[in-house]
Amino acid sequence: MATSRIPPLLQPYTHLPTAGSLTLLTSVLGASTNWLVIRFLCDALRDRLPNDPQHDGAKPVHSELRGRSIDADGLESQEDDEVGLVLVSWMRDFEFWRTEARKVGGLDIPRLVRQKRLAFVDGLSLLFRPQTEPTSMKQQATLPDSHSSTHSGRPISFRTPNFPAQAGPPDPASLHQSFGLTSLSLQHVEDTISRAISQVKAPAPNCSLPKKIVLVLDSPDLLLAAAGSSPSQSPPHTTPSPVVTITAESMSAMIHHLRTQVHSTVISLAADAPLLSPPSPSLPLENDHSAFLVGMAHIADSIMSLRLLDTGFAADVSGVVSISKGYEEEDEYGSEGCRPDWERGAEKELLYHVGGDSVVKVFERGGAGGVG
Amino acid sequence: MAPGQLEQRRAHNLLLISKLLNGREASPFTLIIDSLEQSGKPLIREYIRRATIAKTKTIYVSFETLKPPRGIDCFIPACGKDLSATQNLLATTAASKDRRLVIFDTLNTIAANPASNIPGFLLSLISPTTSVLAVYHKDIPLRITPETAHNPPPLALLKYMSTAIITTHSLHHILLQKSARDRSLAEPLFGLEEGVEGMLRGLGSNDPRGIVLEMEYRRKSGRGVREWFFIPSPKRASPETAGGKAKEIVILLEDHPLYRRVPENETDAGNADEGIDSTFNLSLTERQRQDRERVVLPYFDAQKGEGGEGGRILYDMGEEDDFDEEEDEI
Repeated sequence: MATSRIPPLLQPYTHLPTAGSLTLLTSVLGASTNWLVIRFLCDALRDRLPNDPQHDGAKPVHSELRGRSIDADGLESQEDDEVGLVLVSWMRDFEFWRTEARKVGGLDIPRLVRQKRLAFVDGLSLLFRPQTEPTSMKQQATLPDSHSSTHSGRPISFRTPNFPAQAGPPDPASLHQSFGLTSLSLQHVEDTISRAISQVKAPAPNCSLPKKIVLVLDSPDLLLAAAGSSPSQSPPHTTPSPVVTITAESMSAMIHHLRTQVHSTVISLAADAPLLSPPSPSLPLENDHSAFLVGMAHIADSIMSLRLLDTGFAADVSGVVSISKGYEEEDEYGSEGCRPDWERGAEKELLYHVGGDSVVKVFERGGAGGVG
Repeated sequence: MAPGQLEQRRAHNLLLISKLLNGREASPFTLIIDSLEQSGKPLIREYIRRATIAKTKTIYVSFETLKPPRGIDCFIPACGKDLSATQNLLATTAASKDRRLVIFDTLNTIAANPASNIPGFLLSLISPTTSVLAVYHKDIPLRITPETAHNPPPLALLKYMSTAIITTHSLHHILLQKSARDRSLAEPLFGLEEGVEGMLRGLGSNDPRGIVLEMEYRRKSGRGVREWFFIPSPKRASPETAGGKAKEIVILLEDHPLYRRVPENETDAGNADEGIDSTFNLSLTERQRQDRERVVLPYFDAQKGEGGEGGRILYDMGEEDDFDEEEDEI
């Protein structure tokens, strides 16, 4: 199961980024960023994997990976700090992340939530699923029920085998610590995420320093589409709210404010052609999405773009991940310059393959099927 | 172009960009147009570095920058705030008579708001002691609302207002385009223009070697000066700047070793050592050269000691010469 962890070639990029940095992940239809987001999760919560059963270390690839991370510790001594993570998901529910994280990295998300190392903000269930009892919304945010499968777009059969593995119903204690968005108003979104951040940020009992928070926003562009730029376009399921107008600028401002509260931020956005470079008489949504996406790309310290192969389908290649760097504030004193190249991560184009069992291989062009 | 002309243009334009960057040339409003391929931040950084040396007060208005850049005097976070509030804050810093440089990390946020009046806002800042440096991201689309459909686009307004426009390019891309041009091929496109689905930024963007600038400077007379420059990144240029003070690091793009086109005559000069390719041997051996130097040519006679012999003409009569008896004797 060596391949279930972070592929070595991606290790420099998923490694805890520098303070204040923003990493942008972009996807297209058919090349989703989910597997990449999971890798970021695994990396942030990596060192404290409880009794990690998959961490056998027998494979050479694996020991190399370990050696690298030890080097990183020695150089940066960042790993001494506790890292917390806030995951805000607009396109997937809790159940999806719980299953995937366990399969891929052996992460026990409900347990991490209980330990207040991770907070999950649900941007999907409460907003778009017809609510019968608004009072029980917090429970519904995490309860695995059969309806969620249709929303997350995954076949039910995929998930059902996992239910017996789960030890009974989720612990009620963990449910109190999850957050759900109930309104499309940006103020509400920002407040909810801020509450989640402050909850995770609180120092652990055995540590005096506040944790470093990695904020992961998965598909916040849904807000643009759901709220629209005019009130008439708001979907019927939303809770009655004042006029919701979300523009690319207000979204950017919200993300800017959230970034001030955390160590680093990871955002995943869709970058399909109509959303990236809209035709000249464009629809407001296309325009807003493009403005938001390109605006984020301008701020981002690194961009990881997933796309399909230019040459068509291939059985052993799912797509291309193209990594490019923004301007790095280099100074004469060399605070950036002293970091080794592999850690800083040069720009690169790699191929990846997501297997049926969520195993991801990443390899250089021409080296297909190489190291996992 | 004649070498003299190039020399003159080089001297003139390098002086101009140096004055512009150092804030000594009057450019009240400098607009930096950047893109995903090449961020304008290295240039801002260069401006801040020079302003610090010149003891100009730098005020950085941030719409998207999280960390205040090194070396600035005042950082104004403007993200999500009302424009008039920012304007008031800026007005409070304007009290002193010092020279000021107001830097905006992006104008797109203001431009996207149809209610804001960019020209009015910028003009209210500019004064004899205050110049404005602003970045505009050219690849962010603007929403067209019914109210703004007939207005000029903000970028056109900004270009009209500005006294200097600097467009940034990535060195890597410029070199690729040049090599394509030299071979009469279609120039490659990068990033969003490339049209690959899901591709935001092409490889080779934000070249660590430095930044390429396309400058358009408008003189007061209305005449424009256009030139391409290259600024090496500070890390690479530091050995030069560390020693002497204020050594100019900006060069013309044409003078960049990788961009420079090798002139035709330079290649000829290189070949001359090996001799011109012909059926004659025009070169001399060392012995031949010494022999030739030993030959005393007739006119050296005139330069000997008594040189002024009344203009004696040295002439050997040939057979065919018709000697005229009546002429003065030689």
